[in-house]
Amino acid sequence: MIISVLLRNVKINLLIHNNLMYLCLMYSSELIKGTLKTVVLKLLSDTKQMYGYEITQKVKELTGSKIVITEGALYPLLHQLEAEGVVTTESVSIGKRVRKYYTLTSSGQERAKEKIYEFADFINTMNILLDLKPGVNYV
Amino acid sequence: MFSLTEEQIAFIENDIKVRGITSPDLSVDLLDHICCIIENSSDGYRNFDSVYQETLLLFGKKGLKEIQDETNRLLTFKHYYIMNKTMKISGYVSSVMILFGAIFKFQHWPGASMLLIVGTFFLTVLFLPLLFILKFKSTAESNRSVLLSIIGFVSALLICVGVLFRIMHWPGARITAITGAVLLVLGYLPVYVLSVYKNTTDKINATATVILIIAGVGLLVPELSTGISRPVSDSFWRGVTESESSLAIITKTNQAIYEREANFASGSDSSTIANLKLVHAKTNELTDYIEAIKIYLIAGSEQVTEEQAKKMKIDELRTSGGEQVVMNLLDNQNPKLSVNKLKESIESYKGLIMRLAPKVDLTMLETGTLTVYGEPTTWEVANFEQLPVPLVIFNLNRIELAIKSSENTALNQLR
Repeated sequence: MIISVLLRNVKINLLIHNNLMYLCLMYSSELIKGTLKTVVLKLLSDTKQMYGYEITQKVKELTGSKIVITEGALYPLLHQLEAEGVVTTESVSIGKRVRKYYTLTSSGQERAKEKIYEFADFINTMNILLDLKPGVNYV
Repeated sequence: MFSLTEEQIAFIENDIKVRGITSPDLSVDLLDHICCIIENSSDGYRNFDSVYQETLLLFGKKGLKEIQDETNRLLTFKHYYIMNKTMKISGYVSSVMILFGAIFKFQHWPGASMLLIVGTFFLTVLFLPLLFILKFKSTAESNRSVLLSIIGFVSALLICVGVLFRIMHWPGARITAITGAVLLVLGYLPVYVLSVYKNTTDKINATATVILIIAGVGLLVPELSTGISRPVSDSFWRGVTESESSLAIITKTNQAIYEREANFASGSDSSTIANLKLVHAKTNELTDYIEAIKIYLIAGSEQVTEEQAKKMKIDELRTSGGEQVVMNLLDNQNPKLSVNKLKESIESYKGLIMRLAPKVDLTMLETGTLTVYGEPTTWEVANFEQLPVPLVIFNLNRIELAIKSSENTALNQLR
């Protein structure tokens, strides 16, 4: 999967404090913020439709808990993408509650491709810039 | 994995509302999300309450409300990047235009006013509002920061517009800029100190901001109140007084020429005598009219009767004010005296002189477009519009001097 390769390249370390799962990123928050949209768009382009909890679990699973998307970042982003027409939602009743599924629109698919290419290109550039050798563990 | 009961779901749904989530769209998302977490936890079935409380801790210190705030921020400012770019571009454009406008103004090159006006327009209409909206966005959404942004924006706007008006010599400059300055010191500064200064870790930066605001206003206000420097105003008053004495001398000289020629009437032909009389009479008529305007202006601006105004010396007049009386003259408010009538009289006087003594140079009595500091200006604007009464009187003296010297040349040519 491209996504896990991408994410492993960035090597985001998470520290868990006081069992609160309060995420403390060793990198600047700008770096993480910039990747979140790409990650969500990529997941949605791979799977036809996903709900919020599913997205967080999928990221956790793919990265071996190295990246945990917080609710505080995910939902504002999803609502912004909806307002921009990148995703649409479908509400399905699950017993007493309603589950909202998010789906990429056709312009969203384009956007996902652009974002992934942009990020892959960025990684390549950073590899050259930082002289990273493939297969070497820097941590 | 187990399923939450309807009561438990209803409890969570209600609790989300209690915790300040007002957007129905978001509460649906959060309800499902929290339910999923609990349902997937190992002991959620046995111990709902404690698992629910632990789940809430996942949402950070500020809790669910923070998610809604962030969502609103993203939705409200989805044009953030466009706004940011527009702010930067308008900032660069306006500062470059104002800088060049200042250089042009200093050099008296044409186009200075245009650059300054358009530059300030970009600054006040695009740059400043965007700056304060974006600044407000980047800080916490407290009532104080909104207040701070609004006061900051309004006072910056007033100061910019006031300074522009001052440079352009438009009315209302002082009151606008001083209102802005007062708002900045008495409004912005206290709120800034109370909210930003107290909470910031960057005390040096905050102190610098406070000092810069006080120093900036301290330098701006005296500049606005005094206006012209002492040597300049002294020279002006000397010029005005000297123009009055020159006028007296040339009036005397012309009277002497006229009387001498009239006394030698027998030696000249009757048409020359008639022309001399006509020029002299028309000159006196025109200068009397100008004198009446001066009296009207003094009486109006000093709030005295015309009799008292006649006795006042020019250096007893106040240096500023009286623009309204000048406006009355320009707007034909007085049936007898107006700038328009003066212009017509000067034109017809010039016509008479041109007919009787064609060689007289009348360029000093030009009433069309004049060139002031390299820019074309109308005669009305150059001599009257927006000027304080003493300056208008000085200009009227100059016009009178030009008339008398034309009379002088004409009398000498006619005899």
